[in-house]
This record gives sequence, C-alpha cells and structure tokens, in this order.
Amino acid sequence: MASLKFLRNRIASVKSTQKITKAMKMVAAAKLKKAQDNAENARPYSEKLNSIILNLKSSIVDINSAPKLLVGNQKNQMHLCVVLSSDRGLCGGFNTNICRKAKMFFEKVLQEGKKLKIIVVGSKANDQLKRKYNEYIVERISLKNEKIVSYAKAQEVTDKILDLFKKDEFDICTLFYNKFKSVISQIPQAQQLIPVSIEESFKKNDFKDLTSSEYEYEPEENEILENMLPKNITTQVFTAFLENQASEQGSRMTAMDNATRNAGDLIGKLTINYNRTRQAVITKELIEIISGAESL
Amino acid sequence: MSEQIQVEIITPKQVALAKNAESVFISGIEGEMEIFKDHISLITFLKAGKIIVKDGNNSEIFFSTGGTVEFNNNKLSILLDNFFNSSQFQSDEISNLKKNAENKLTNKDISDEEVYLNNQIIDQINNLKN
Repeated sequence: MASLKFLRNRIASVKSTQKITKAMKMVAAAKLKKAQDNAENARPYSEKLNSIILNLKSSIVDINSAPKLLVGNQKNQMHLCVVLSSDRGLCGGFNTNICRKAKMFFEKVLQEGKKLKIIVVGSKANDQLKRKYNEYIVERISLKNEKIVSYAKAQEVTDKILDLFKKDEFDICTLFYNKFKSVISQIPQAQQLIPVSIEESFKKNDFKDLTSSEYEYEPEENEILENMLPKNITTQVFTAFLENQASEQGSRMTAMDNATRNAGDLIGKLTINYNRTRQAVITKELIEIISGAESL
Repeated sequence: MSEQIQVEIITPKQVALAKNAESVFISGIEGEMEIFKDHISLITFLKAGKIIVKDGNNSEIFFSTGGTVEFNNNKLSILLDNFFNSSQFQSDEISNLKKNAENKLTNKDISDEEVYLNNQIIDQINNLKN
C-alpha cells in the first residue's frame, strides 16, 4: 500500500489541477457567450450577401462569360483544402474532429489520383496534419496574436486562396471548420468555397420573393459579381472563423467540466484510500503497543 | 408616414442600424444618389463616402469606405465593410484606414480602378477630419 505522505501529496496535486480546470471552464463559459453573440451577429450579413449573389447568378444566362469564381473552371483535378483549427489545446476533441474530417477527405482525393493542396490555419491543425501530409501543405497561417479573429484575418486567408486561384493552382476549394450547434455538440463541416455552391446552403432559407424581382444593376451584372464574389468568400471564411471560435470555447467548456468532475471523483477515491491507510497504520501501531505490553 | 422606407445597415460584425426613414443618401460607385420610396429595385456598390439617413428634420450621418447596396420592395439593405457613426469620425481607426489606402497607392501594380477608389478613401477621410 502506498505511503501516507505519497497519498497526501497526490491529493494536493489533484486538487490544484481541479482548481485550474474549474477556472478554465469558467473562462471558457464567459468567452463562449461572446463568441456565440459574434457568430449570431454575423449571420445577417452573410445571408444578405448570399441572397444578392443568388439573385445575380439567376440573371446570368451565358455560363462561359460568367466569372470563374462563380462557376469554377469546370475541372475537378486539383483540390485546395483550408483547414481551420485553433492555436490552443485543452479543448476536447475540437481540433481532432476537424482533422479527422479533413483526413477522410484527403484520402478520398488522393485515392482518386487527384492533386491535393492544403492550407492550415492555426497551429493545432498543423501539428496534427504535418506528419502525414507535410508535402501537401502549401501555407501555414498562425492565429497567435488573435484573441478574437478579426475580419482582417479572414481577408488574409481569402487573399491567399484567391492568389492561388489566379495562378490556376487549384480547381475546387473546400473549407473545413466546426459548426457550432450547442455547447455539447459541434459538427465538423466541409464547405465548398470555389466554385460557389450557394443553392445548398440556401435550401434551408426562404428567399422566394428574390428570384422574381427585376433589378437595376449599376455597374453591369458581371462586374458586380466579380467584385462581390471575393467578398463573399471572405465573409464565408469569417463566418467559419466565428463558428469555429464558438465551437472551440463550447468544446473547451465541456472538456474542462468533465475534467473537473473526474478530478472530484479521483479526490474522493484517493481520500478513501488515504483514510484506510491511516486507519491501518493506527491499528498496526496499536497491535504493536498491545503485544509489546503483553510480552512484558 | 407612409412615405418611409425600411433601412438596414449591416456589417460583418453586427446589424448596425435598422429603422424607417424617408430617404437615404449614398455615394454609389457611379455617382451619388438619394433613395426615396418606390425607387426602382437596385443593386450597386458604394465607394468611400458618407451615408446620410434622413427622416423629417433629423438626419444621421455615417461613414464607410465601401460596401454593397440592395434596394427592393422599399427595403434598403446596405452591406458595409466598415462602419463609423459621427462620433467616431476623428478616431484612430479612420486614420488607419487612410494610411492603408496611402500604402496601397504606393504599389505600382494596382489597377486604375483601385487607384481611384483609394484616392476616394483618402479624400473623403480628409473631408471628415476638417
């Protein structure tokens, strides 16, 4: 049986761990509220932007003259994957879930013999993916100095994507992130950015009146689209960032809650063990004293 | 009061303004315009400039460096990249935007359109500061 001193130290150490996880849980809960608000506030913008683009798309007749960002370059050979993760750990399966989803996609792409390029955002995705997919990673973006991900950061990511697109480095771009559903459930998502797949995300919303209306465009439709599409991508990346952030905090909160509870259980077990040992020691001493007295 | 339109100003961060107003003045990319009730449905871009929401004798002035405007069914949606109300006109953020624009102008590769837009940002911000 372990010594009393050892058990005492062990209990003290588990207690201090519990304090830390409890504090982290509370911090995550406070941050979660903010992140959730941010994510919700950003929704009207992206919805509106989507509706305008949908509108413009329906007014385009000739697919060949349409901007490439909208219709893609009609090929399906080179894939660019953007994996959004966090820079910090201790948030349960948050980063692992994104990476697992992404890895499944990578395997599929590679099996079909297509080319793969990866942009990782946040150091955790880099850590998890570099071992197996290092040769495919073309860009690493750190979130080190970003407490709350800014629009500018989304812009930076988008600029990189667009830059690669202009150089004809990929045909299809997919974005991986965690969608925030609730504190206990975050769903890893794979969202296609280029070519734009608006219809899919739009089936859920009702925008019936939009397609019927006639608009005056200033400047021309195509010119508007060419300007709006990059902005739309930025917005989508930004929204994904916000969703991701809310998910990260939610995931961390749950993970830390579990850790706190586990630490509590462990302390209980150790305390029982400690008390038993203490009693055993006392009993042993008593026996020694009594038998010593008897032998006199 | 039937002469009002619904105005919505939305930024990536929040819904900045949602109210009814009689007219809204915007700086469209092809010229300034003021939108009243029953204006034709319209989609256009904004260049840097003021946005003035007028209602009776009241008018609220905002500033943005660019965005998109959609008007349909007497509902005006303004999607802005950034958004400042009159109390923020002297803030550092605006000065930063100006510096940004000036930096972009030093780059020789940019298109004429970008030169025009960035010049517009600088002009308009100078205007605000005075």
